[in-house]
Amino acid sequence: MGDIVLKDVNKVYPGGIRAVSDFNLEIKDKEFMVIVGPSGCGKSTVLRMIAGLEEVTSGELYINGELVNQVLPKERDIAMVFQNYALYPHMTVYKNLAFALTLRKVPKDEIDRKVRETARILELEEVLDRKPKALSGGQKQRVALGRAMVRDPQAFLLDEPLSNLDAKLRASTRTEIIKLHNKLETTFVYVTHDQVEAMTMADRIVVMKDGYIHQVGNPQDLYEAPYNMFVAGFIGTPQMNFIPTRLKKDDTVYYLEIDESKIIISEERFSRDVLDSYLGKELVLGVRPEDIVEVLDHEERLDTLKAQVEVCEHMGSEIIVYIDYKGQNIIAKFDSDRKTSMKPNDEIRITFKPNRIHLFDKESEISLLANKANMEKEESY
Amino acid sequence: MTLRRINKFLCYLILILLSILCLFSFYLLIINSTRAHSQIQKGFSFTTGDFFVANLKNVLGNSELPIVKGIRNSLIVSILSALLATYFSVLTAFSIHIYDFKLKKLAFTFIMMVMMIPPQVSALGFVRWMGRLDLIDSLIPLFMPSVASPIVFYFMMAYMQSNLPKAVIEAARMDGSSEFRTFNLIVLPIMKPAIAVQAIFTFVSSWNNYFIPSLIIRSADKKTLPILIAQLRSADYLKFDMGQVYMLIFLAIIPIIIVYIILSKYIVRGVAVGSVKE
Repeated sequence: MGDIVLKDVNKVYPGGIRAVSDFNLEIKDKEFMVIVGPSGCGKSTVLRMIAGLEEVTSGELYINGELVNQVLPKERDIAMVFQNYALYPHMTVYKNLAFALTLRKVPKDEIDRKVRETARILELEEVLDRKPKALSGGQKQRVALGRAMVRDPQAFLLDEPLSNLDAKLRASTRTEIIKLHNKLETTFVYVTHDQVEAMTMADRIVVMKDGYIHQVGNPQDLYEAPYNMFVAGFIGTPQMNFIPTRLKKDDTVYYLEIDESKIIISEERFSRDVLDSYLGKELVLGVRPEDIVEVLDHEERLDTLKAQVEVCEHMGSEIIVYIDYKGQNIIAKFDSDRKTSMKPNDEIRITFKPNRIHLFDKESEISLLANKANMEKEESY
Repeated sequence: MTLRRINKFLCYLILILLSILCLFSFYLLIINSTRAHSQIQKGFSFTTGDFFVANLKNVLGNSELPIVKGIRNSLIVSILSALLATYFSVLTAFSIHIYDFKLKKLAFTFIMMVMMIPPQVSALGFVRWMGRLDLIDSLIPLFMPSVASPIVFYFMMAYMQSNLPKAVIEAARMDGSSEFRTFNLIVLPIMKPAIAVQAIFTFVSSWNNYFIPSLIIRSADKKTLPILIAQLRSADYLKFDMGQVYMLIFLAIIPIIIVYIILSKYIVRGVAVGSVKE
């Protein structure tokens, strides 16, 4: 109960503005799906189409195996939590929670039982008689969640529910929502622009940009094997470093040429066929900050880059170092035991963990790690 | 420091003078309703007379003046006008604010254009039309046109734009509410302050309306208060009694004051506060 399928869904607004293009996605029952992307990428539009608040221009939308393109929101049996809470201002918290049930003509004592049960779970018992204006931001957010919960809907749609909360509250509410999902065992579709939320909460993540899906996968997949440079740069903080390079071959050894330096490529990571096809071509090297290694040997080595420390940020357990390499910024993350000896303007030599590097086609921005099937899909748009 | 005090003093002085100017006519009305015709003709007095009860008896006992019926008629017309004007204006504003439909802009422009036309211009046509509908000498033409009140609509529209978040309507839809139910259960309560303001205005203007009723109403038992007041004032020389005129006007303003007191408690700022986070 509660799977959602979007098939070739497009959304074009009057005036020809394309919000969502060729959207194909299967959200499984009880899954926590997060749609993430920069603002204006169409993620909220997708959610509103699932809710029925926006019409689908073309394509098919199924909820529970039933085609719902023409079904009104109130008949879809899904609940939505809005970014700005959208509580009914003239009703008390109790009535806000009970509203949907009253409309469904649920018996009074059952409404009372459900509202009190929900209020207990969300710790709202104290404020049941208050109106929204007398609530704190966190409480309002919980009322908005509660209003969705009392109905036992087939799916929850959450539209950036945490973006109006302060940092501390956001972290705790995040955990609350994860717990809630485990407890309710219902499908959750969660829209956010914050990749940290996406990574921490999701079973699977959809990364969107300009109305297109760029990648769908579980958080680990997205982190380990981003499909293209956009996903690679969007997922993970600090973000992945991109360094222009050229692929070369010396006898049997493949290496990347960055100025005078030569970074040897592990053949375990990239297949020989793929590497051969890019020989001599320009590529983009992608390295996550934690995959940068400082080389302390005193003798000059060819496989290192010589760079200068610009800023050090001490985070406690680790240290984030902003490095200047010939005018290009590189961000590295080192263990904190290194912090005592590193300071701005120091000269350091860095290299990359060979098994952790990513390579992207300079033109299409697609990862060389991406498999053939994905590649064809990419070409289709 | 002293300059600021002088400034403040001047401000208050002007405000007090303006208040006196506004309230003086009410004072005059109340004083004169307690005085006899002959006393009133002698000139103004600051103190009350002792003809209040006599004037009241004269007005209520005047066989040519159906005062009680007049008050009843005026109440029917004014209350219905206020209800119809506010309800249907909010309904119109809601549909134009929330829905996207073809010719929406044209509809809005058209309503705005109607607003520009003064009622006097269309009065003649209106009366002839009512004649054809056989509604002359009926109360219906006095309150029914309030259904289409462009000015009230415009006010509601402006209030809605800043006070009714679309997300609340969408939330109600998701909760399973039909559009009409959403309007009655969610939109109307949020619009309460605006409705109160416009209900007062519509009530007062309908209560004071002399022009249209004078063209429509013929029989004595359908006359509204403004017509009766005019009738009393134009009485012939022998019967003319200023005391009665002032008494009737005094009676006529009481309902307005009551309506204002009842509705003003709804005019509270920011009913929608706390609904959505801006």
